[in-house]
Amino acid sequence: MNSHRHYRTSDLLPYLDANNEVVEVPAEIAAAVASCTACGARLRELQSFGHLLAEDETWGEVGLTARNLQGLIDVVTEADRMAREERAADSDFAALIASSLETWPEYLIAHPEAPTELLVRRIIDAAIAELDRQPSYALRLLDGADSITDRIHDQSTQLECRSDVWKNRVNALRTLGRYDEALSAILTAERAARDVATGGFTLAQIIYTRGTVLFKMGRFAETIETAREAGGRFAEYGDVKRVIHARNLEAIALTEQGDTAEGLRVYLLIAQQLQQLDDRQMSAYVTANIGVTLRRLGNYDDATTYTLTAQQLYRALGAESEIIRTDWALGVIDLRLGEAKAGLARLRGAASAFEALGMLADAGFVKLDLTEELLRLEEWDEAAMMAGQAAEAFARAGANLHLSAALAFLRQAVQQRSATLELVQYVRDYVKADEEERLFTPPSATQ
Amino acid sequence: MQNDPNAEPLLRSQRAEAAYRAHYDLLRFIAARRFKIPTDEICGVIHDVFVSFMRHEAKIAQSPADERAWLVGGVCNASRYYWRKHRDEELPPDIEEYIDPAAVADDAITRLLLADVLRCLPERCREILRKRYSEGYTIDEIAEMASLARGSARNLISKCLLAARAAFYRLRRTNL
Repeated sequence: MNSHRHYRTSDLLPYLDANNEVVEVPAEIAAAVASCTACGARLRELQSFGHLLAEDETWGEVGLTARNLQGLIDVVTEADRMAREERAADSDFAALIASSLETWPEYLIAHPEAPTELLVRRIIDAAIAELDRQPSYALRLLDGADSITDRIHDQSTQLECRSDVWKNRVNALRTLGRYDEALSAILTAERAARDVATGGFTLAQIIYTRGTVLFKMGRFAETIETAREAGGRFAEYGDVKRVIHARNLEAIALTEQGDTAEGLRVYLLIAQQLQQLDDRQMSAYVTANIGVTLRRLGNYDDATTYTLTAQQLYRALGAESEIIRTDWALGVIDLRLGEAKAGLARLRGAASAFEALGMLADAGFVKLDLTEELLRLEEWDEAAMMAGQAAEAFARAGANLHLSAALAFLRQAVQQRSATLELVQYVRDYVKADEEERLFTPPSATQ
Repeated sequence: MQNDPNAEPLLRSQRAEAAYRAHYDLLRFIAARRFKIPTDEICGVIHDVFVSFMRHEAKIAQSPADERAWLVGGVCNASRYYWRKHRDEELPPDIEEYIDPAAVADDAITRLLLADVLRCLPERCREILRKRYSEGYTIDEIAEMASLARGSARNLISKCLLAARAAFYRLRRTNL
């Protein structure tokens, strides 16, 4: 045990002096600093304070005292202007959304003061709300927003709006399966964001959006690179939530390209980061995905543990559909473990539960899994019945003609006992992609 | 840091004003010192960042730490943009490197707090520290300038340094 007297800051001060001729460091201080952790730490702290004190940056600030009051007034004035513009935008938006898109130019000519940033943002929000249900309509709304953007006088505001409109056009085009157009829309969005002084945050969002398109195109390596870039940019804004979303995209792409172990590593990192946030929804989602990657890696025990944990988290959130989804995942684990009876029972339970909630498309996907398993067991009659039920579930969910054609093709193949497990996977992927404008082509026709 | 779910939502102008008062000095410091934006351009850069902050306010969490990080990211990106537009002038080194907003803010706040402390010291003390630490005068030179014996000069420097250090750590604790 070191029993020497620890030195005070004032004792250590001479030690710091670089001018040898005036430094008078007693020998015992020098020895103590060299051998004692506490004295050493105190000396280093004092040194770093001395360095701060020596910096020009520090002294450059000493002479500055005046606060920038004019700047504050300008910002508050701008906020008030935006509030006024917001009220006008509400009224113009109500008028535009109630009328057909073809009449918008007429309205804008009659109301030359209407084209504002906040009106464009109202329309973007309306398009986002329609994205899942009516992507074509969302795209038309965004075209309308873009034409309003052209009429905004301030160039920087115009560019901000354009980057946002085109970023959302990318989302609509992606939902419609028009990936090449989506990629070229990204270029427009990026160009606008790069041309404005404060476009950095929107640019990060655009880059993330590009990642989602590349993912849908199956270009996983580029998705990973893009997701990482987006994550780095979001991190510059301290936006942990969006960093996690970007990393999540990276993990999904890694898993899909077959780097399941690396995907798992990223998910586990995300799970750690999530501890900083009170985002229980995302925690449950990531926990469930960890379960999926572990299942793919054949680690069924841990997969079960994570899936059950995710289920508990979803129960705490009261997220019924996700609870069913975890039951579905547990059923798939049972099947992988060769417990066909238990697995099929869980899957049937999940399908019924989805139907009871009116989630018919999800029920349809479970039934496709059931069809696949029944085919594996060579239960042809039951499989044919299940393929029919799957088609029916998707039809009731409002599947378009292309999807119905794919599901009918599968049903027929099962009935004729020519269906393979690969065909089920092929049809499942096609239905999952749900691209409004992509015709179904049977697998043989694609070879 | 989490948002208080019971807190009343702030009006855009209130939020912007509060953020401006809380973070203006920090943003000015980063633009001026880290990115070497010319003094007469700094206000414009920061104004743009605050307008962007108001535009994106729905996407920015309302905790002071989240707001600060967003604004720091904003000022770094706006400063880079400034330099891209002024390619004919000499660029500060490493402007394109990604930053960690928390670390950049922490660095800047440390220097701003120390500047506050130095500003509040008695003038004699402040000037003696400036001479010793910023301008690099030796203790003997300072003793001569202040017409003091060498021992007295050294004691005075120590006293001023310790006073500055104590005030700095007190202020930093309060700030944290």
